[in-house]
Amino acid sequence: MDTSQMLKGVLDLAVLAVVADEDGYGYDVVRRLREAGLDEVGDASVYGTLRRLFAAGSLSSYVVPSEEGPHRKYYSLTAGGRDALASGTKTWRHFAAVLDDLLGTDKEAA
Amino acid sequence: MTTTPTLDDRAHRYLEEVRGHLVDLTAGERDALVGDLAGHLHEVSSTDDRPLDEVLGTPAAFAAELRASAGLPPETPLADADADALADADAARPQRSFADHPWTEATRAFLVELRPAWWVARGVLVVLVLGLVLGAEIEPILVPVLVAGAVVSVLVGRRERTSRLARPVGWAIAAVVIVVVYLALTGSVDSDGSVDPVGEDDPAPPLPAEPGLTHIDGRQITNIYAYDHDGRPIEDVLLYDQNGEPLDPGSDLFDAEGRRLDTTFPLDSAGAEVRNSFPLDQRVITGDADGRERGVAVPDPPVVVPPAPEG
Repeated sequence: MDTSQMLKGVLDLAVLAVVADEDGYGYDVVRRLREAGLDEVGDASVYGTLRRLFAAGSLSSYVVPSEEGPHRKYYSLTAGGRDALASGTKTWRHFAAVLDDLLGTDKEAA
Repeated sequence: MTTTPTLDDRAHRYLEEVRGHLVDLTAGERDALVGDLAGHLHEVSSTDDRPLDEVLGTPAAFAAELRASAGLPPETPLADADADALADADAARPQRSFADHPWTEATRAFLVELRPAWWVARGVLVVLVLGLVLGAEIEPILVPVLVAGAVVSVLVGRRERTSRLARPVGWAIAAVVIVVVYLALTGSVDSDGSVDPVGEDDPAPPLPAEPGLTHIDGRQITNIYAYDHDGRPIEDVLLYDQNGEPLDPGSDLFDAEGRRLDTTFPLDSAGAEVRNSFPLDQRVITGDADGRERGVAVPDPPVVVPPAPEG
């Protein structure tokens, strides 16, 4: 099954979780998401999501000069971002549990 | 891994192509999206030797994904001229960023909500202005006219969005209101409603500079001549006002041609000037050919005394 469609629905939550773990810049967030197992995550999707979460007040940003290239814009979670992460987590857990139940039943039936 | 601090060519080219698919956005939005992409492309470019199109997808696809995930509308195809104009608008970035600022949008929305109040206010103001111009004539019907003015103004306002005619009318009303409020605030509208000539910023009244006697229209009275009913001039009349105060003509007196009048007042027994003894003994001060000043006696005015009543 195409995970990119599923990813769209939960990318906000995944990005919030990664940044909550540790402040990160765009490329770093993409890399950590992939390392966590979200292989198909698109660079552009992550950038757009960071931008949208920033505009919504969930993230703040600061610039760190890089010796290796253009400066890096680091994102960190705001209080609003922590609230969004908490409520998103709750929603996900409920959703995942419901789906697990559905899939578990199907499996037993199969 | 390269340590070049600048963006390499292929990363730069890719970035510019992505930017090309964002030209329909405001400069503020575009810069926010593209701003930290340079660093990203630099890292991708320096860790992966494959073409960027292969790693990241085509710039068009990348831009489309960027827009979708950022919650922005899909790219709207633009005529080349429009795209160029938008690219040029980068020069006007501060204004565009200002226009994009959330506070600006909030203020705009707030002003739109205030619009009906503005319609009522301008209607009332226009009627009040008419009231000032017409003076007391409008007073008995002022309240109904005020209400009518407000209603008409609201009707014009409501039609402004749909009618081509109503919009200029609305602007004209707004212009009149702004001008009148400006004049009122700067004190150019007198209490009697007359508007001072534009361009003369409260000129200091030329005459008199100190208390003196004036006609009702403000012209200076420099002298007073008294006659009896037979037309004979009466000399040395002492004049007082209703409170018994002597009428003082003041000292800065000028004739109709603007020449200074030199007044010689009679003295009382204590040597003080008696300033209310009319007619005053006056001379016009003029410069002669040698540049010296010279006094010329002011002639008596031509006076026609009304015929005395019979008996």
